[in-house]
Amino acid sequence: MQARKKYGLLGLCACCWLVLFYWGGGVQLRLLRLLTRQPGEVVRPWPNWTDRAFLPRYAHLDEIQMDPGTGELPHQRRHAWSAVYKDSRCRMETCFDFSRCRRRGREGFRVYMYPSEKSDRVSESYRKILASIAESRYYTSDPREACLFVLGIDTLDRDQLSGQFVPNMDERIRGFPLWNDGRNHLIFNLYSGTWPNYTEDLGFNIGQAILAKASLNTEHFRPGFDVSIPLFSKDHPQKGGDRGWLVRNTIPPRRKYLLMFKGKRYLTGIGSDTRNALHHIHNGKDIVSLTTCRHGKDWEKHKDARCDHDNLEYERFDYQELLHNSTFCLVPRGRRLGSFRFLESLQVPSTVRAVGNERVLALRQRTQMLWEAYFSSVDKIVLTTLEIIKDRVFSHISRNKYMWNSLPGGLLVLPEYSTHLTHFPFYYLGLGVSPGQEFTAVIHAVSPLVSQSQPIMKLLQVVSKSKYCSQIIILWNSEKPPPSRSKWPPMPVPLTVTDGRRKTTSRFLPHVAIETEAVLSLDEDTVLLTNEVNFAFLVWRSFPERIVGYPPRSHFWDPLKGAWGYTSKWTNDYSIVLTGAAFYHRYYHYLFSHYLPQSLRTLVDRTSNCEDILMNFLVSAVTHLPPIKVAQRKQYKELPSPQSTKSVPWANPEHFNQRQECVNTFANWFGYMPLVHSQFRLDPVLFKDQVSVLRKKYKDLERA
Amino acid sequence: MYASGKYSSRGPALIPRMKTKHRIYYITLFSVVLLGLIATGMFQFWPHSIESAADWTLDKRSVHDAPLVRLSVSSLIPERGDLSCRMHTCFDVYRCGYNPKNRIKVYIYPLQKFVDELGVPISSTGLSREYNDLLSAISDSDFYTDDVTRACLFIPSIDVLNQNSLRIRETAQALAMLPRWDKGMNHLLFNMLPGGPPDYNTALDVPRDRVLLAGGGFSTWTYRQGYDVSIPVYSPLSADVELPERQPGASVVIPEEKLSEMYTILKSIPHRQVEEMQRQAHWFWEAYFSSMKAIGLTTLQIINDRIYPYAARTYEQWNNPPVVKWSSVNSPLFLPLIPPRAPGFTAVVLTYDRVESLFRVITEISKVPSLAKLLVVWNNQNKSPPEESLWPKIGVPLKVVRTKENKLSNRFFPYDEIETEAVLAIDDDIIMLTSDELQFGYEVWREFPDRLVGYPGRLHLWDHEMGKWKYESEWTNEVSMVLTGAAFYHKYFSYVYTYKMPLDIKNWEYTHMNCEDIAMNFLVANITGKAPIKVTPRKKFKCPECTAIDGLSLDQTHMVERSECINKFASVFGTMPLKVVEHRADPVLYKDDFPEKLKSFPNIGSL
Repeated sequence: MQARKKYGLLGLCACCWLVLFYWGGGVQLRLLRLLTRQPGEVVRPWPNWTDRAFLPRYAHLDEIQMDPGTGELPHQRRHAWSAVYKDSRCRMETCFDFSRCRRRGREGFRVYMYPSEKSDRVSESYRKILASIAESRYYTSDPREACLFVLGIDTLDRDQLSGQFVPNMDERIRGFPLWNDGRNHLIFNLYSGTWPNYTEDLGFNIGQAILAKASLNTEHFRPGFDVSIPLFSKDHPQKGGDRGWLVRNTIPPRRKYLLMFKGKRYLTGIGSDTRNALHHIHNGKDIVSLTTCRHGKDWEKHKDARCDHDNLEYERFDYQELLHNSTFCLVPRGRRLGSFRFLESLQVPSTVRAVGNERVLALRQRTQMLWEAYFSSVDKIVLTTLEIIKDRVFSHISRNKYMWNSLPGGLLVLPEYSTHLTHFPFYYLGLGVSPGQEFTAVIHAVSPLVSQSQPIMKLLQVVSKSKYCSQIIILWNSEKPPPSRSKWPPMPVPLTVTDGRRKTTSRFLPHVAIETEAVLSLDEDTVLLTNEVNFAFLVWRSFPERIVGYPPRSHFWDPLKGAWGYTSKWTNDYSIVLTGAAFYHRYYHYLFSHYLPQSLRTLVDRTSNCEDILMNFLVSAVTHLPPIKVAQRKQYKELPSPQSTKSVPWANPEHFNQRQECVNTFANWFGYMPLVHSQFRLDPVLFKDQVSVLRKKYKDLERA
Repeated sequence: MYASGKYSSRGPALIPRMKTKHRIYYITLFSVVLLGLIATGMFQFWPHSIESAADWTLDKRSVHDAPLVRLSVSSLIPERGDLSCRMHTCFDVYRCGYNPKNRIKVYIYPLQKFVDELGVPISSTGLSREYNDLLSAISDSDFYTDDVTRACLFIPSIDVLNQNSLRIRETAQALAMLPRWDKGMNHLLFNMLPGGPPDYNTALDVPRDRVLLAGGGFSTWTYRQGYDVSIPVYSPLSADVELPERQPGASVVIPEEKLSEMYTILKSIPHRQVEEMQRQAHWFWEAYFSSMKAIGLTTLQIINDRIYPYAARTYEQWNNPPVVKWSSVNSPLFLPLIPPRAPGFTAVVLTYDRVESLFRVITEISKVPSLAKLLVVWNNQNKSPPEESLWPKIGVPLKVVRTKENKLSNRFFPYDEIETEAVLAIDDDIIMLTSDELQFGYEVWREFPDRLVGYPGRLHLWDHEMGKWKYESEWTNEVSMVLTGAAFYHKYFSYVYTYKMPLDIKNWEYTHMNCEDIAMNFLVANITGKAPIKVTPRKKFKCPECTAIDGLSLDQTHMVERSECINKFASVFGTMPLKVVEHRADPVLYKDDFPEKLKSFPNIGSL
């Protein structure tokens, strides 16, 4: 009986279940869906509407094509907007007078500085800024041709409590006839606001002036108009500046500490909450985040339970030691704004730990690159500011982000030369392309053409025979007028003769006739073989950003004189190759003529000397690398024939002394010694190897 | 006996009864249960049937089925958009939390139909086809979550793509009624046609509080830097697109004042640059703007990059078409540094059992001034290295590492014992290299820390007859590889070799016991895009008495195998990264007519 009941019940259940299954499908399915859904599995949440094909378009085509505000010119519209948004919403189009910068390129971007009044005290930092502008290639003393104006009054420190605070700014600037509500003015500032709120207030109305300021708040920052500059101390060097601390790339790149911060905690007031949170991440092992409560006079009043312990920990670690041994440094905001990147305060460690080795290596080098390119001296900071504004004024010929962010940095990339990356010597690898297969020979001729056996004739033959030579340009710098076309020998490549106007620097003028990336610069009396030219050119194609040449020279530090020395002796290393016979990229012609100051070029022209040293300085300053010397038979003007000694200028001791002086003058302008020594030369693979000459491609290089 | 008796008294009586009376009943019952189980199983493991059924029940819906929501006149209106909004002021990043994938979770509100008190809808079009496409794409993407509590970004299903079709006030009220609205925090709206007569504002006029706006046609005033996202205006009929922001490498910006010079400016752009700009523009279009899906997912990726800046895509990743990514090189050792001489280098000697030769090598290397440490990698698992007292006494630390397996790649392991950047890999039979040659090699490496700097050079050639690569060890005028039997390289590359080398290549080299040096050459060339540097003239590197080993290297089959390696590696890398050069590095005064005693490296190349 019991069994029957049991089985009956079971059967009933099964029947019910079946009934439910067949007739109550919907409920069942939903139940099933709920049961079978895996966690994380996405069910189609946004349905495939059955009538989706009938949904209306969001707009009619004529609505899209209609230009809003038809009939109103862009500048009229902007004018209307600028009236609404006033100065706080300045953009280049509304607050900057482009008509002042009408001339092309550098000529169009002149910077005028207001003369400083004697009564004004100008801080060390601001004096450096003004000096940088005065020395820059954009400086003008004539306000009529200026595109940008810089005040002579020190505006760096606008903290009312500071000793360098200049009062009555509003009245004073209103007195300037050129002020024009700040239009086309550039104002530098490092500190603004004061205790307790440290607002962004400068204490005077800057009107429509562009603000170049340290720690700008994004709320006040006028994008595309203001410029953010780094906070720098009064000891920041005017020129050159130290190289970064990174001298090698250790693997693994991790250092003793993963993350470090050491600074004040600010017990109260603005910025204190951020700094207060820092102790959460301190573990005393790989993450060291130290704060001290000691700040100001009355810190003990606000002292909390953590202070004593924190202060002790703070003293235990040395800042410099931490800085050098930490993989990452934390940059939280202080009283004034530092960085908002701090958001994930408690997540920082796990995030930081997740950064891969490659990334650390790359980041570390990137910081060095940015430091060396833009921040290491006041000159660089100021020039970067000017170049940013110039790029905005001439937006159609400006640097792109790639130029700003890759080596050698934006300051050495002149957009007037080209805005196309492949036209520069330093981007080939990053773009995955190779330099061109041809070169242009530029021969510097100073002696008149009198016989067909002159060295220049032989040189023309040799160079034109190279299969890589696309054209030859003779730069005629002789007292005599250039000979007629028929005097030159017939050649397989086009020959152009241009007038050098008897200036030494003319050999580095960016002649429009140079159409190839590679330039072979030659003196008229250079003795070379076609194979030597070919080999050097192939080497250059492997090192297109460097000078590749034959005769080397060297510089050294002379501790007795306390000055740089120059030597032409045979040495085991070299830092210069003479440009009397050298390959380099044609962009360096442009840099030589437009980046270097007129004063250095004048020096070269006046002495008719040192142009090769200057070129080596320039290229090494760009690359941070030495030039490359290639194999050559040893007769390049090394052993002058006795009868010609008098006419050869480099045999003259005066000439040599001049070169010594040049090295020091140039190092002075660059602010450091850019030349770098190298200990090798590049030879053909089988050079002087004991193997059949028949195997050797460059066998004639070995003949003595 | 008692128990069995008990069973026998009841059991036998019951079973026969069951058999006779309920057989049919049981068979039916069991088959029903079995059928039920099979049916359940089918539903459990046959996803198609569920989906089609789900379609039938859930997705077979019309837009008109969306629930109606009636707005009251007095319902809340959000504040106008806040122009000062930035990610750190108007967006709650904590809602996104830390997540291992660094991916934001996006929730889409279910579709509702908003009407005012009189029953008039807030929008003349309702859900548009474009907005539906956009939401569908997002809901299909990895960003989507249907768990509202886990979401950090909310997308209303209210279509505001075109302001002209909206009733501004009512739309704003509808937004404010969304359950998670909270002043528009973490809400994203898409708008393509903002403004209307007479002002033609450049941003959506609907009051929307802190909403993050992905909009077309922003001006620099309405665009909140680092907060809003600028998107193109999608044109439903054509492929016309208004570029949202200045696209690097794809556009030329000319100030209004320069309109008169436009012709000359455009003419002056080099032909090659124009071609590249066209390619770039096309790529941008394809990758980011070609469909509502592309626009929607690009917007989410941009926001994602802002929330997880440390995991963000780089500028190059955003802007470089795959072609450029493929051919360009971004070496992690890009900074032009000449490392200081002082730390010296670590010599890593790979050895198996040639103790005598090994000791000679150690003694020779120990004479090199810049040697900092010697590391012997003992690759023989069957034999222990000689006792400590038997090793040559040298002036620098000497460490022996025993390996677990006899692998050639053990020489490239980034041992913790290697504390210098520079590593000299050297075989236990390379005894002919002089101290001058080794020191010079180190000096050259310092000038090329991102390259392989080695002594014996080799070349790869294209064999036209066979249509494949060939390995060449003859006296050639060119070099594309240096053997790692004696080569300097940066420790970084041993790290990459060990952890980043394609598994295919590692396995190949393990099974063939060959070509680890070719693999290293491929690896370095592929990372840096540069050729290796061969230093000093060619000479016989191995001892004269080790002819048997020399014989192995010269063995024809060995050469054939190395050719195969090159072909195999080129196919794994998908390209031939090796670069051919015709130069080698010699000391500045090598073979010059100059007193030998004044040369830094006089003992070079002598046999």
